[in-house]
Amino acid sequence: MAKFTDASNTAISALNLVVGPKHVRFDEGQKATSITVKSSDSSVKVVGTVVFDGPEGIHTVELSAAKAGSAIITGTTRSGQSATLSITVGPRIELPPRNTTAGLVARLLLAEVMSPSGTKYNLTDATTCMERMVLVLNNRLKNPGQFGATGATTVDEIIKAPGQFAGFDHFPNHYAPLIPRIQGVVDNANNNNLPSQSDFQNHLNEAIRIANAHATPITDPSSTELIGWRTSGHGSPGPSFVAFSVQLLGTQFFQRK
Amino acid sequence: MFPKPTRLLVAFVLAAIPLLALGTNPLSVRGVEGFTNPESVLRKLVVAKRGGTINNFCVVGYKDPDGATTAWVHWVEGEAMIWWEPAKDGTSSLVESRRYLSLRRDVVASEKQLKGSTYLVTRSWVNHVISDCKAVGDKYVIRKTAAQTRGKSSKL
Repeated sequence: MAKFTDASNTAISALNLVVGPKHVRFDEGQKATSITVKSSDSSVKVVGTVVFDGPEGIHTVELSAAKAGSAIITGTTRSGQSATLSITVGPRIELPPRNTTAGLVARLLLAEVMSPSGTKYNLTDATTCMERMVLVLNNRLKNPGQFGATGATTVDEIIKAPGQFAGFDHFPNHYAPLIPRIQGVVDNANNNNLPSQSDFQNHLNEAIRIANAHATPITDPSSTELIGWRTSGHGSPGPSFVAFSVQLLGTQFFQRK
Repeated sequence: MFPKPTRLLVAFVLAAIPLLALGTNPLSVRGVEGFTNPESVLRKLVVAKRGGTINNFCVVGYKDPDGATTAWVHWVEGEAMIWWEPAKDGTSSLVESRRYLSLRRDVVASEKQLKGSTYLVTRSWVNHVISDCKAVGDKYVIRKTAAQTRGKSSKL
């Protein structure tokens, strides 16, 4: 019986994609013959097919999710057996523009929070880290002089304060060293062929959501005020800080002493 | 006022706080899960950062309070200290590290000068890591070949 499968040969009948390429497999269930694969809609194009495993009758089908929409992909064997695959295409996930506060905060969160490739990563802790970081930015606005941002009235000024957040002092200038890390998350979230794509999509979507809500931080969980963080094994941020709770995903938060 | 010996003891303990934060015992991460193919990881770093022909590295691991092991990579010629967090698929990338510290720009003399920084480190912290690495770390020499190319740029 013919069927579409993923790369691990598990049968699939529906997919959610973002605009971009995607490979699936078409399993004839018998020795490979010539097949035809067609799309019902221009949102998904069939680029081509190639035999992956002749004796097992498995073909690789190269698709291109061209634009937002939905399509039914139908694969048919020479003997007339067929299988369908329902595909919904959404837009690529993009960061807010660099010249917006949300764009700046989202990039900071992606730079500072463990990415889904980390061995200890989980989305719940990543979300908590992001929320606490935005809280720290807002708390620093109450006393900006302590953090090298005398007179600051905006989150942007807090982030760009000299020596406070690696790579952001002169944002968007001198920002290049951070780009591979941030671009890696965005690229993985938009890579339909990556098995862990959904992890990166969830991570990126959380960063964007929390960055967009930067003006309304979470309730402070500390007994004083959360005002800093450091990566694990990195020491204290100064004598007037005390560690808050346990570290999360390699990040230790600090509250005012 | 405290007597001088007490003041000295307090000063010593305060100075040691950032060092204690590294964790207890430094360790070798050679063969440890998540730190596989160190030469490949280091070579990619050298290519991406356009390092010179010969590059000396020292890698030393520390166990976090939650049991996770991470490592600091001292790149001698690159004058950098880079944090190595293990990746799920074993394809770690130091180019994408959360902490890439320039030993020229990102080091201050005392904890007081950190002023709440999320990344600056003290000279004593750096010296401590380098000392640990010399004692128990893994040393690598990466030689760059002419065929290795530059990384791509982006407009993110």
